[in-house]
Amino acid sequence: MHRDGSDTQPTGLDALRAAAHAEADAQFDERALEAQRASILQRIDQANQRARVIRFPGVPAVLRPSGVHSRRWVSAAAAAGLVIGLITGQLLHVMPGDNWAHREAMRTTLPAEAPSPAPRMGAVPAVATMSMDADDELLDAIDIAVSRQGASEFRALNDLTFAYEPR
Amino acid sequence: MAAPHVANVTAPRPTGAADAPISPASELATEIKGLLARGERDAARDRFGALVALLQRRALRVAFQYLRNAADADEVVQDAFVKVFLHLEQYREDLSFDVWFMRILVNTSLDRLKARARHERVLVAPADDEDDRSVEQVPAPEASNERRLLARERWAAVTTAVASLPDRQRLVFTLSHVDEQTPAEIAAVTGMSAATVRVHLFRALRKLRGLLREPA
Repeated sequence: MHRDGSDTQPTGLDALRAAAHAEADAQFDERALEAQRASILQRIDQANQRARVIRFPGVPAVLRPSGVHSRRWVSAAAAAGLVIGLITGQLLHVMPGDNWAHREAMRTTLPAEAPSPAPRMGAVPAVATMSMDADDELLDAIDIAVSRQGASEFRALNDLTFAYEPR
Repeated sequence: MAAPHVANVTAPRPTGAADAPISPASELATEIKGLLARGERDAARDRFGALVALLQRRALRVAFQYLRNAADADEVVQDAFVKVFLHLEQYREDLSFDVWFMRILVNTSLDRLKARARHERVLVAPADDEDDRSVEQVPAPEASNERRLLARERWAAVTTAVASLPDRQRLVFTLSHVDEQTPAEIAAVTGMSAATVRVHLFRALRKLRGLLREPA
């Protein structure tokens, strides 16, 4: 008989119900029930535990990459190069007469018998780099050259041309 | 863990259950809920072990009858109990804990069936030797020899027929036949109306009755 008093079911179902219970009970004996209870409580314990953040295993100092040190070294080298470049540039202006541009300008103003040096790559134009002292020296060199005997052939040409005096 | 099917905890109490005495499981669940509310989690866990022991056998019978697999039934029952503990704060004391728990158990079983169906398209019937063994283990102490004999002869055919029932009919039949729940209780567990439960139960019984009337 069904629990609610319904008699619509065949009476044989009572026996079948008992058979169904027996079949399930045979699958789970007392030991299995106890193991299941333990498993349930264990899962509850695990669920109650808060999630832990596991620290990543430490890396030995020997194996640690030296990226920070190398970057500092590169920065120091770049700064040192900049300072050296600035000082060198200033020294080139402070020490006239000893630079290649000045000597080059002097050679170009020498008489024609002096062989002109071959053009060099990266040579700076003499006018652009001559200082005031170099200008005076250049004019002196021109006077000397004109007063020389070798420049007498230019005198006739000088006499024929109009002397232009800028105002 | 997947989201448990515990959202429908506000299911109406089965008809006639309002005046029914509170079941031991409901009392225990209320006590555990109070312990959890007070932060006494260890004590609640210990008392929950008693609640598991109270409902464990019944849950395994239902799950095994529905899933027809001992390992699946074991896992489903475990999952259901763990879900119950983790969501016990949602339990309403004015409702029957048995119904609430059975609802979680049924939903967990349905999830397991869906997962199993995804892996195996064909439902494999239990082996014959397994059926024979189960038949040999039928005690039915209260049943008459005639009924015991009937069960012994036809149990294998009935289980096969139950397995071939549509899902809802099989669920309703299992809850009604194995767990001895009333249509109102089944309606509260499954979310169906009581009339729908009766229709499914009638159809399932008609099919099984026809099977039982066949000569062995």
